[in-house]
Amino acid sequence: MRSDLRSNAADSQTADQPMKEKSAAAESCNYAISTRNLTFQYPGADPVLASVSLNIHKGQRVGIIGHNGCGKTTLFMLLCGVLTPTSGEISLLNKPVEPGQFRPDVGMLFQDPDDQLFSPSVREDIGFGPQNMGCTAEDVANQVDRALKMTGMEPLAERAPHHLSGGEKQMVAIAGILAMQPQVVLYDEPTASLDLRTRRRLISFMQKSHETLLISSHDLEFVLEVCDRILLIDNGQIIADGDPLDIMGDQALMEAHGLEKPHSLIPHVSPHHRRLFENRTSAERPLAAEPTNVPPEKCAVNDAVHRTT
Amino acid sequence: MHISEGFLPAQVCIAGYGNTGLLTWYSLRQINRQGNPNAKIPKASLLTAAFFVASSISIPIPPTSVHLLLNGLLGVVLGYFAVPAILIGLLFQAMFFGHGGLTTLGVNASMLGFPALLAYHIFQLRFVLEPKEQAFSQSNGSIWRIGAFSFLGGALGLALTALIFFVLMVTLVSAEFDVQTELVAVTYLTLAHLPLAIIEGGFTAMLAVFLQRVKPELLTGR
Amino acid sequence: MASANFETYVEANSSLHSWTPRLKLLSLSLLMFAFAAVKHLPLVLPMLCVVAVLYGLSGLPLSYLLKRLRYPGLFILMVVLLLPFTSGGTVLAQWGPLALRQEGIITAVLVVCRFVSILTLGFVLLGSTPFLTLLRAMRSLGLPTLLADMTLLTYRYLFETADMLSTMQRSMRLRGFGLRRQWFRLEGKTLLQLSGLLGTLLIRSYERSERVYKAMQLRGYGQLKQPQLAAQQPIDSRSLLLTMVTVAAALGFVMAEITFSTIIG
Repeated sequence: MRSDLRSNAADSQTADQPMKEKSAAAESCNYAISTRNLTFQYPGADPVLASVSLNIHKGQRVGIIGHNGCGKTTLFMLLCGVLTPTSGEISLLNKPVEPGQFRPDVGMLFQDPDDQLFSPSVREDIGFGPQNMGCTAEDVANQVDRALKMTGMEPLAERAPHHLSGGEKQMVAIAGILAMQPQVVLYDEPTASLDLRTRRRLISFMQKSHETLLISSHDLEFVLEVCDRILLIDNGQIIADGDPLDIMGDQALMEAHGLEKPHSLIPHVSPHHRRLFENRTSAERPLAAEPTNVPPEKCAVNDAVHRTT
Repeated sequence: MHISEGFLPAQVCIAGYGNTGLLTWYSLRQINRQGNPNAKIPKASLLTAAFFVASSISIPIPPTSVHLLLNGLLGVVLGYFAVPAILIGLLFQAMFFGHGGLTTLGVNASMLGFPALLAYHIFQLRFVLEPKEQAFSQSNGSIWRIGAFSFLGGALGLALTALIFFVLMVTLVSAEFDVQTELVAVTYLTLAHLPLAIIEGGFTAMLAVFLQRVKPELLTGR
Repeated sequence: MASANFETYVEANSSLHSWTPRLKLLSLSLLMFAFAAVKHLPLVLPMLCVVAVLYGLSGLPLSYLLKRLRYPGLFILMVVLLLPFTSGGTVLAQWGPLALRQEGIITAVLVVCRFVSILTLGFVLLGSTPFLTLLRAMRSLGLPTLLADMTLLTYRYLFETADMLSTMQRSMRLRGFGLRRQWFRLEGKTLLQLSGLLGTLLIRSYERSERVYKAMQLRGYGQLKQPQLAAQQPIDSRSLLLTMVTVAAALGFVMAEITFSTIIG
């Protein structure tokens, strides 16, 4: 009910603005996330984020890459309203972000799933959000079942969180966010504690999702597979904004900002993988282990994956 | 230093629960008065888990090794939250290890809880008679005051708990001792624990100084 | 402690398992206090019989009880060995300065039997009720929300905290902590290092709690003014029967105790 009052206030505000700003405001209605000159700094220190302005459309899957300490996590905390900006504006789904306000339409997944599974059972944890949204017990149960189904976590519904593996915990945490039916989801290092199978499952899960996603990750290959837009951040500023292949393919750019070109984008012209029996003669190499008459050539798999744009 | 099931008569157990009920009511009231209890619950809970787990750390005191009581430190770090923390810690110790008891939970909680709150207030005394410049520049008190008052809190915490424990055990377990023997027994047993009280105080001080240097927010402030 | 199992519930299909939790909690607690009131020898055997019957009804394996009696039993042993030699005036046998006293023996027997009975009842309760259910029952009986919330959160993070500690202890040991310990001297350095261990454990727990609080806030913690309590289940006839029998037994023991006290003194 309170959110209705707020959108009314926003509408009355736009009615007073001059025509030029009105068209800009009308345009921003399409943005899921929008910031203008966002700055954050601790008193007496250098700014962690310096006048960052970005606009993310609904349904986009944006990856945020940058070295440690570049300001990614701070940006997420500001977008969620956990931190208060020093200056600048943030609006999510056309409503300004108020620090401390509960916004179930935006979900955030932390790096360590143990930090966000704080209920004694999986079912209760997933229901935590819907309960706090004021849903009836029946609604809560429905939301929980829906989220369990979407993440494939139904068999684990009655388990205690500490009995789950890292990957299962992460999927349960995701279910807990999805139960609130958010339109925007922020993922902070989602693959950090995942094994390869669960990581693969997460990739296909994200590729099928309809929400607006903002993913901060060091796992560049993951970002390549999931995101359709990239923001490269360094020193609290957006260095590059655009196509993943263009930005991550630019080796000089990546290395200048503490990153490197993802391995899958490096053409396999000359073999640079280390082999187990590298310096032995062909007589010493074990038989039938690997074919020795394959000419070094471009890695066919890599080309096939990235030919689809 | 927990009293197990079956040692104390039912009236004492019930009185213990009554006592602890009052103590808990008072602590919860103070917690709500100090404001923003919701924000402090996660902190208090995780620290309770840490203290519970820490009770398994054994300190080598020759010729053997002991488990520290840490109720003084609980008061120094958690303030009024020490009482719920002690309740929960005792419940889990009784449930998972059979240490202490469920009928004696009330008595044990009061035995540990009152000294913990006392330690908290002793620790808060470090702000009394503080020179104005120091109060201005060091929001948590000077490191000497922190060390000294936490030592006092830790030592008295253990001493008082030991005293209550021995009084209860000696007077209530058997109806056959005469007052004279009881007095002598209690005095000797408590005095024998003085070295332990000093060690507990010292450990509490070491920890308080460590926390002040690394994460001062953990210590209870003004 | 990381290998310790923080579980007390054992799944089984007994009548005690399906006893309405809040009634079970109240009745068994009453019985436990009634046992604590037993001060006369004739009541000991009936007490042990009642306990045996309840334990049999619970369907819990005997090994469960024996395993859990071992550690606290050690503590009891110490007191039990002292009492017969120190308490009471009637001497049964004497070996020099050591005198075996009748009252001491009686008290020791009473203490041990009360201890075993109450502890067993406690494990009947814990073994047949999942911890969460128990907590919900306590909430419905008036446990303050702050205590309930804290208990749940503490319980939730026990394992991770225990893991944290054991990892840190392992790393200390691998770097030689405790190797050059002298059994006769109190090493200040050891105490300092242990204080660092505990301090780090506290700090890491505190920092985790800040993250947990943020995660809770982001999912609406504190929005609801009144915490929602689950709907109460209807009480079935078997639960009612069990409750009445248990309460009657408890009252019986108390009255018998009072009778004995007035007659014998």
